[in-house]
Amino acid sequence: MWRVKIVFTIFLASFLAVIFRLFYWQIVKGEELSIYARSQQQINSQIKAKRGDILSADGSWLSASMSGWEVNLEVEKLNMTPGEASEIISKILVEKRGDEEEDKINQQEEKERIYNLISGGSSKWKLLKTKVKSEQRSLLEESGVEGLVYSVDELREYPESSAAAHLLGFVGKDDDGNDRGYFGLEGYYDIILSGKPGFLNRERDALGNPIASLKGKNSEAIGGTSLLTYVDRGAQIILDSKLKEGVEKYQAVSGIAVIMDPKTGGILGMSAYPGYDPRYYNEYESSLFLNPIISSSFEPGSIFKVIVMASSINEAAVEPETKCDICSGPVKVDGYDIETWNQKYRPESTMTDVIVNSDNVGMVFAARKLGKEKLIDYIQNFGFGEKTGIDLQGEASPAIRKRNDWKEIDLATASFGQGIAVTPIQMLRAVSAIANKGVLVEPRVVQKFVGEGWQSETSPSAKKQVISEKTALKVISMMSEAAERGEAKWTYRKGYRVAGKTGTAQIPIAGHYDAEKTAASFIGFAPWDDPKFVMLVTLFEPQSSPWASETAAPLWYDVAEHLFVKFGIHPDKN
Amino acid sequence: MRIKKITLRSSNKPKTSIRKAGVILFLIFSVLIQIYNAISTLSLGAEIAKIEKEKKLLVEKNRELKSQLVEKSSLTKLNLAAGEKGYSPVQKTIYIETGSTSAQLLY
Repeated sequence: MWRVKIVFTIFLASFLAVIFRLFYWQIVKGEELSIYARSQQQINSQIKAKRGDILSADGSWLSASMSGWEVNLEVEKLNMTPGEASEIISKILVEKRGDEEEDKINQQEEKERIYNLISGGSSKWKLLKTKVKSEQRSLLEESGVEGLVYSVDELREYPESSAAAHLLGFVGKDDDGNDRGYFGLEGYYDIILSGKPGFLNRERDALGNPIASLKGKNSEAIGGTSLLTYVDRGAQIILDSKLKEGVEKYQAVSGIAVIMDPKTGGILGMSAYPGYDPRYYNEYESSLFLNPIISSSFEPGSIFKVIVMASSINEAAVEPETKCDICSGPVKVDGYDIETWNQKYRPESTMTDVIVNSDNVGMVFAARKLGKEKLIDYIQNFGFGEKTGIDLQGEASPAIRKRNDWKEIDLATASFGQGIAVTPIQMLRAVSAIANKGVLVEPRVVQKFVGEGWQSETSPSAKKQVISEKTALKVISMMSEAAERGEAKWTYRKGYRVAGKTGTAQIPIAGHYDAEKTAASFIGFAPWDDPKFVMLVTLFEPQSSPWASETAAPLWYDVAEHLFVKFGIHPDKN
Repeated sequence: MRIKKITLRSSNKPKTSIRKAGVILFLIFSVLIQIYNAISTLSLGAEIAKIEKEKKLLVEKNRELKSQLVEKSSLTKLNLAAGEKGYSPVQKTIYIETGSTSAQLLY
């Protein structure tokens, strides 16, 4: 009997032990083990969406998403000292820029960074670099450094280097470490370019293979949409290179140049110097990222005269043959003397002569004939004082003086483009209305959205008739004479039917105008009977000469020579 | 001495055996089906993994090709390469009329 009791006790004790143990594993440790089991059995991952590309008008890449790699190092498997490894790895990861001195400095900095990464901290894994190119990965694999592990990453390549940097913008990181576009097209169209990530949620077996079952929620990533722009790649590269040459040659502080199709509003090229390389945006001052063509204002000077003259002619206040009866000398307005730029006065000048000779007094005459109220109306109709709506991130617009605040002197100075602030894109758009038979169009960079097997045109540019076609033709005729007979006639290219205007504006500094500092501009289009392009070139504070006729105008023609060939603009036989 | 009456009950042994055999067969069949399903699921899973691996390789290859295309279609790099080989940009464009002597010489 006692034997039975002992056996029974042993069985009971064993049974209770099992129950308690089960309770421990199922209840006490249950949640923890469940999570661990799920992590072993389930795959949960986000599928990154491929970012859309930015293409020039001929379909070539201006900005492309390419396959890249994230390079991690498992420190325990490293087969050499951190110093040796950082020396080898830095030589491969640092891209040569062509400048020996700069390359040396960059490599040294990279070597120090990698050394500090490898030798510092206790983490087993070190992230060495993201967005590494495939060629660099191949070199790393052949380098003999062990412990390197690669995972797929995406990098953004700009195959034309710094060309169109302000137009494109760049891709950086947001606060969560995700890719995000900033400035230009990358910023404006960031959501469209980004696409939508997918996710993968399924169970896997002990070998790591997925278990084919109905369970699991999967969603394919939706790739970003690509942008087909109006940008002419060849014109853009020439524009960038000529602008840089021009700024250096004329010793200017900075410069801008922009080309537009006056009929569609399509931006064919846009350049600002100094610029930056979007591939290495983190090496530049952030002030360089702002596109001065759309976000900085300047007083346009005499290039604004064509707008005022077009307004006056449209209101029949003056005609091209109307004679100026105050042009025999300076004119006094509100106690100020308004003079011509060269102190030369031509009594009985016609309005055409006023434009050709860039006569400030003649412009005061035309503006007075038009009247303050109508001038303000036309300034607004031509799009000044409001954003153009161009599809680039960062556009700003300076405000136009309030109607009630305009004095007589403001009317006078505005007639020759001083005392009024505009952005270069506003100025270009306004003059393109003259080239386009009086129709003002909205400037636009992107012409189509392109996806996998589909494409769709962007909504058409908004158009508005601001002056009549007849008026436009009259002003075009005046501008073609200005180009041929005006102060920039020495640089005029005969036969190409260029219509243009120079403008040399004094730059206001601390409430007064500095005679030494100018914004020198040339704005024009060709051929004037059927314009293929309209272009504005402005150099800020050129030191070689303050005058646009000696700086911006020759630079304009330097670029235009290439555009004549590109757009098939042949010179007249005569 | 009382004689116990012994009555023989008719036996259901054959029916019980058939039922038992049926149950056992059914169980065996179920187990075999389960094993078959498990093997199919495993092999399907392996097939999916194989296809996904192939897809990944193809996508990577595609992206490699795109990288090469982007690199080689760069005008900037083409200009640089042309410069290194001694080519220079056109300095001047001359227009000639189709009927002119120069045109006749050329064409």
